[in-house]
Amino acid sequence: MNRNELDAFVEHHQLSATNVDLALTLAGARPTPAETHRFAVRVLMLAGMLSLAAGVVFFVAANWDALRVAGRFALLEALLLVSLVLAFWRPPPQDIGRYALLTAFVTTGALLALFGQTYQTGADVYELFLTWTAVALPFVLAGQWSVLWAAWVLVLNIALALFCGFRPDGGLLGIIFSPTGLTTSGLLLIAAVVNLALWALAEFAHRLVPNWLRRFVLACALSFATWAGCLATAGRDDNALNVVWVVVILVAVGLYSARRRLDVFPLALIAASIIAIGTSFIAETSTLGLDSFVGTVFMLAFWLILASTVSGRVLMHLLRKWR
Amino acid sequence: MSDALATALMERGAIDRAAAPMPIQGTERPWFISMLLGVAGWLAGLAVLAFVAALFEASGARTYAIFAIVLLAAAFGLYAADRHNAFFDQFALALSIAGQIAATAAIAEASKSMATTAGAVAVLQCLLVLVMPNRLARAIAAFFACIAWALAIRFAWWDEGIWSALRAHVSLAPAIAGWFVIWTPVAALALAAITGESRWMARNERRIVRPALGGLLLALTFGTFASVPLDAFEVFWISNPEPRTNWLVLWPLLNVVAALVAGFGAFRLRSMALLGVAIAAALLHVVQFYYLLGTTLLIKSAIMLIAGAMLLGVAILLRRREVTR
Repeated sequence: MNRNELDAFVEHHQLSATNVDLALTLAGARPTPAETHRFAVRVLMLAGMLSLAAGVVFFVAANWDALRVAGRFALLEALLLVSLVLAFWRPPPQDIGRYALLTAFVTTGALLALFGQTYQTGADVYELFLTWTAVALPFVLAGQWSVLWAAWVLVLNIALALFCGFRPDGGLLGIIFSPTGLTTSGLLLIAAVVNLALWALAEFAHRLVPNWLRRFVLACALSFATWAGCLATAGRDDNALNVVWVVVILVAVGLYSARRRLDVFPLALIAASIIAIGTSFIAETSTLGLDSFVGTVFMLAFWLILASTVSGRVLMHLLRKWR
Repeated sequence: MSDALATALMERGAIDRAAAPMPIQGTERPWFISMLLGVAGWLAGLAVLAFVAALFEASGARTYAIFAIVLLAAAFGLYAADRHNAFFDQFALALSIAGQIAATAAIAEASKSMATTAGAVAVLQCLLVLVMPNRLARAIAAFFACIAWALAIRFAWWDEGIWSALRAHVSLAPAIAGWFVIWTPVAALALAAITGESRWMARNERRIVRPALGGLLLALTFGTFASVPLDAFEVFWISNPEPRTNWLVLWPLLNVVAALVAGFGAFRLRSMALLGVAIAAALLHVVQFYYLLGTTLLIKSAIMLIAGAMLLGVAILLRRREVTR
């Protein structure tokens, strides 16, 4: 029972404070001292490791004159080595092994950034993130930990956003996609499809992948699709047909979720996507001078209230039905 | 689940055996649907106010004050008249947000002072937490009350303009004291509400405290960004920022602590969604610490390394205590 259900329960039975205390204990609504202790140790350990890793990254970024280039590389490589030794000493799924691999993951990114900074490779920023995802993948696989996967997905999506959203010409992806003549919305759709493929894999292995991570990957996918939809409907992008692909993606995710009847979160994302694209479209028509300001803001208010109400009602209906 | 709990409580004599079983409740709204409705309601509120202001060619404090009174009264009326109609709830939220923005504009026009405006908005939001008969509206009001409170203290203490990217040097002691003055009461309120949960759950205050607690915890995660307003990312709009020491640079790190407090609160309330929000906020605060100007990266690095070593030390000590128990 969540807190609101417990509130309703307490209200119905008119429980006294002592009995509310008992109800909270019986419902398992409050962590035991042992649980709290375990939680505190984990949080402190993770925060400590990440602080140390961030400290090293800051140190390298500071470009301290007293430390030569070789020293900076040696520092990061030493940290990477220590992390890997720790991971071998206490391999995952033990906590220390996982934290060590997370540190190794962060250090890898710092090492790549230092390489780019020192040798001025001329690489685009997205390439740093893309290389990071490739090089750090073994650590993620070895970690067998959803947090590491989430960090990996985040870095991959930063790379995709930097390339697909801002279209730098250089780098491997630039060479591959420049001749295709794809518009920004087209590239963003490719980023959405990459995330959808990851989501499909996660759904296939749903026993291994926690729900929150699957939701995170799908949120990334539909964020790209929404971005593409906003651009395509705005008319600035030259390929309005990409709206069709956005619709195809939203319908596919919707149908799959409706078939499985397990989680309404994907449908909430679809609703949010439709609301965002609709809002962007209405706002854009006003900048094109098709409507007066008063009319546009009225339409915006009407659309936002109506669309969110309908979404809320439908989602709650499905939530009740699927339980 | 509620039946099992009722049975367990009956066996312990906490509930009368003849007590009527709990009627089947409507399913609780999950966080992501609340977020969807909240964000859409907020945007709709902006659009409603823009529509009303454009239609009546609004200008001056008096006009905005009239808008605020009418819109907030309409929102209250809609909430009170039909509490289960989704459309009216959402429409009421939009009217309420529009009314709050109109009130802010009226106060700002009349007072011409950022600190007074922020302080008055904080009071208004607290009133809305008490008065608005809707859970989402109360939670949003509690969240914005904290932000307004933070801005009021900031503007009153350092007398800065909201659009000013350049700020006077702030030394270490007032910087740290300022943060504690703003966020300690918020954290203390949230922790007190969590500690005394069973007391207020047994009374009608639960209708106010529950959503307010959500708003407070959310403010400790992302609301803290508002207390470092515009110079947080001044590196983006000043081409050659002049290096100067400003110990407000420590605020993002203190905000990490606030986010961890919120995370602890979420853990105590068994709210995984809020715990996730707290973790995401803590990470973003570290990113903000990296970009915020005020001291060198070398000092920031030393701070992070020392903090990391201390956190690991405490974790190891706690773990040893667990093993020796």
